[in-house]
Amino acid sequence: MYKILFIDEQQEDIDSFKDYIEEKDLEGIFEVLDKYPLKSLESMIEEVMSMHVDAVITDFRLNEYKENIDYNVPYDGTQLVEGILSEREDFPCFVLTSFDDEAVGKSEDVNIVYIKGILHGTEKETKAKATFLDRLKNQIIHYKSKLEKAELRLIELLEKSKTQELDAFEEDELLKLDSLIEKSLDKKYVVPDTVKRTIESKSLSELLNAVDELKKKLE
Amino acid sequence: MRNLPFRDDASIPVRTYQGPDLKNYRDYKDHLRNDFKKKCGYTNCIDDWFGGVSTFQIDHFLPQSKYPKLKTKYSNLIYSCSYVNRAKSNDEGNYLDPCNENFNTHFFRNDQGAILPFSTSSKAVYMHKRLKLYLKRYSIIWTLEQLEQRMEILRTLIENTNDDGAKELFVQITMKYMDYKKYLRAQ
Repeated sequence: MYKILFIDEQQEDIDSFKDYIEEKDLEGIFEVLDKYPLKSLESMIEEVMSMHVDAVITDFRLNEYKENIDYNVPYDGTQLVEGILSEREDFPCFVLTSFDDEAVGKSEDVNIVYIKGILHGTEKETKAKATFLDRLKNQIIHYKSKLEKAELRLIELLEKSKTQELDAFEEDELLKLDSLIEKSLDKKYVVPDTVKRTIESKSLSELLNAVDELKKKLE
Repeated sequence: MRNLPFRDDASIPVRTYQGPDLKNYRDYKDHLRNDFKKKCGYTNCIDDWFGGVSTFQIDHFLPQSKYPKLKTKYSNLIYSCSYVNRAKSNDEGNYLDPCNENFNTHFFRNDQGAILPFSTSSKAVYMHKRLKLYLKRYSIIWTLEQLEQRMEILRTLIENTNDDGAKELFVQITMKYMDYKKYLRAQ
C-alpha cells in the first residue's frame, strides 16, 4: 500500500484526482491523502514531511481559486517540489498542470510535470503507453528499491569492517552509500565526506580515556 | 575494542511537562527540547551541530496516522533529529521509548562512537536498521561532543590544579577538535 499526497487549493480538483485514482487503481495499492496549500512554502514543506507519504503530487497553480482557502499562496507547484527535493534527494514528486508550457519551463526536471487532462480521460486519446498512475507506481518502487539496495550493501560493508579492514575501494563505496542514504533523509544538513573520512578510532579513544583517567587521579 | 555506553546519565530524557494538552503538537517543542536534554531521543546526538534546533523534529512514538488521539499527547512525543524521524515514518514496529527504557542495555558504541545494538535485544536490532542508526553522522556528532566535554573537564582541572599533564592533554584534545572544525567550516 502506497500513501500518496495530493495538493490543490480547490476541493473540486482534489475530488477529481481521487476519482481518477479510484477508477484506475485496480490493484488497490494507493491511499490518497490531500491537503490545501498552506500560507508559506516553509510551513507547507514541514507539513508534507510530517505526513510521511511515499509520493507527492501537486497542482501547478496553487493560488488560482479562492473557494476553499481565503489567503494568498506565494508559491507554485514546481517551487514546492523543488523545496521538497532540496530536503530529500530524489523523493518521488509530480506536478500536474493545465498550463504545461509554463510549468515545464519553470521546473528543472521536465519529467515530473504532467498535464491535468489525464484526470479527465484525455489519457486514453494519447499514444503514451504508460499512464500517469503507472509512472507514479514505478517511480515509488524504483526509489524504494534503490535505497534498499544501497542499505543492504552498506550493512554488508559495515559487517565486514567489524572483522577485517576494508580496502580503499570498499571504504569509498561505504562512504558513498552512507551519503546516499543520509541525503535521502535530509539533504540540507548532511555531514561532509571530508569529516567522515577523519573518523579515527584508536588515537582518539585513547586520548579521551587519558582525560578520564587524569580526572580520576586529580580529583 | 571496548564497548562504550550509548548515553551517559546526564542525557537520559525525562518527560516533566505537566501543563494542559496543546492543540498543535509542534508547540511542545521547547518543553521537549528541555526534557530531552537538547538531544535526539533515538540517537542521543546533541542539537547544535549541522543545522541545529531547526532540523530537529517531533516524532510520534506511536504514529499519528494510526493513533490520531495521541497526536497531541505529550507522553507520545519524542524530540528527534530529522534523520530518524523520517526514517521511522509511519512505522509502528517494535520501538523502545528513550524515556522509559534503559537504552544502555540495548545499544552500545564502539571506539568511534558508532551506535550498535546488542544482538540479545531484538528491538534494538530492529531499530538500528529501521532508523538507520548505522549512519556515520552519529559517530561524528558523538565525537565532537566528547571532545568538547573533555575540553571542559581539562579546563576545570587546569584551573584547580595547574597540572602539567592536564595542560598537555588539553593541547592535544583542542588540536583534534580544531581539525574537525576546520573540515566543518570548509563545507
